[in-house]
Amino acid sequence: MTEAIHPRTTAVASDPHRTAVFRATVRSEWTKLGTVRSTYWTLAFTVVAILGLGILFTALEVGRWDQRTPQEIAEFNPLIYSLAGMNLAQISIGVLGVLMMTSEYSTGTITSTLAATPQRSLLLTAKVTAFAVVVVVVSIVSTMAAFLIGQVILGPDHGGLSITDPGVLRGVLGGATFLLFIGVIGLGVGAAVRRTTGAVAILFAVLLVIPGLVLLLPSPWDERVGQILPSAAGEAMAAPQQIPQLLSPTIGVLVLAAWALVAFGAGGLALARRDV
Amino acid sequence: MIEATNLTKRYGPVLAVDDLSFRVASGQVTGFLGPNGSGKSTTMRMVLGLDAPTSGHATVAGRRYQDLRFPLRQVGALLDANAGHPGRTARNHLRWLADSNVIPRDRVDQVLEIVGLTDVSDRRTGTFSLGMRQRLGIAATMLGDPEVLIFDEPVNGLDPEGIIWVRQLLRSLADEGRTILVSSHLMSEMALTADHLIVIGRGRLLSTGSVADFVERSSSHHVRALTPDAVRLARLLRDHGALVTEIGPEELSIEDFACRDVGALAAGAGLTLYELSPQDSLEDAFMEATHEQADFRATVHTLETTAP
Repeated sequence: MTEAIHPRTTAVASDPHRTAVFRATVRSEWTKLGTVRSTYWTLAFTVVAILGLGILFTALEVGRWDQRTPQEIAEFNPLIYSLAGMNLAQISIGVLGVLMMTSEYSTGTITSTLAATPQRSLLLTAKVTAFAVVVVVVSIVSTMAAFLIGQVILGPDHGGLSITDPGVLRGVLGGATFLLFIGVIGLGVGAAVRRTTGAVAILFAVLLVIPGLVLLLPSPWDERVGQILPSAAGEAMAAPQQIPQLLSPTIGVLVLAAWALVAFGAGGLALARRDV
Repeated sequence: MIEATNLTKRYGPVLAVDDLSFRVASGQVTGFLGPNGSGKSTTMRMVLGLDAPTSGHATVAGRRYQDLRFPLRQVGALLDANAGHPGRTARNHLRWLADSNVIPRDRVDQVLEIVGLTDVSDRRTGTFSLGMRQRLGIAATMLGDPEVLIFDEPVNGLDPEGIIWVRQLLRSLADEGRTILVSSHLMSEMALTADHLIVIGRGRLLSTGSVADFVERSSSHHVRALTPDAVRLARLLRDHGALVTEIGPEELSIEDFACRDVGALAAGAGLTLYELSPQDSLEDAFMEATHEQADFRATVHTLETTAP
């Protein structure tokens, strides 16, 4: 059998029109995202979770302020309290990432998608790009708002910070970046697994179950393994300065980026290699 | 033009498509015919680059599908009318498709008009009947005004009016010089729609040629005669070398004899004929060609009662 009659041409990779295809695909993915209700639900949940829990936790703290010991007040981290909603938001953003791939398979849309854009690695990159833009906008706006509202509630009397304080802006943006990476992990897992239930189960295991199990490991492995899990890395990123037992914010970003890259790679491999 | 060369797809021990080679020419409707499970859909999926062939390859307009840039402008395909997000409206479904291949959004309204879905274009497709989904799927194939159109069982779920509409649409698309490949498991439908046939069974090519050729080649020609003088007519025909089977007291089946010859002989002998009809239907020819290949043929089980 002469398999080499039509070798995979390198012409596609160096195609000057590849950028045009990429741009069209990103636009198409935006249209897809904007025309199903699940996008609005998950994003609304994200915003409500970030703002709502931020307000709730900072307000509770103000109420309990008088009962705090001086040491507790010294260790109080207002940023973490105003960004408390990220623990919930990681779920909805992660699920949105999962759905971006798995709904293609569950509804059969993937057939049309690949007929329209048969360059599979380009397709996945365009999907991640379209997703990233939406998530970055929503998460930066909502973490920033949660921070600002949180500081208004705390006020100068209860440890409120200013965005210009050292490490604060980086912490707020770190929180938003954390959500983006979790979303990309979801999207990658979705592309690799293809089924919503399976992908959501894996995502929840990584974000919620494994952190609990790691605590059972003998010291110092509980700490060593625990700190490189996505949620812990995200916590490190959202802190104004390094928190004991966590990675530094910079290493946290790198570790989380590595997680996202692995998931994206697994998704890309499955998409490229497997039949639809 | 679509060209398949030694296309083969193996799923474990099962050969879904077995060394299939064919060409689909432009300017005509080519019917892709085979029983359910014979590998039609798998072949189409390989042509569209959705499934990778185990060996062999397929090209559309001379290139592998994966190498087409903005493929919707060259190839339109409808594989499964039920595919698509049920929560998206018809218009939005076509919009993302148009965006993906830089097709102007005006074209969305045009194709909705062509398929008659303008009035329901802002309804979610989850509320659509199968017939409406078929129409939406057909609209999607025409978005990029492509030279090549591929349809997998497009008349499924359509009402008789819709079926005629599809038939006429395929005809007019072919008349514009486009390449049309349409699959079906219904020979009778293909007889009315297609000019050319590719017949497969169990993933293998059984026959290719014009619809008329197909009937000519694969069916044995029977003539059915109803006559009160069956015995005499049978003897007369046998004397002239015909192979005659007596079906009933007044019914004969004559092989390899044309109606006019039977009629002429009967008239010459003064025999009465109630009916004289050729029996070479397409369905017969198709059944004959695929008989050995049908994957899911009904088998008759004899139940024996066992005495206790």
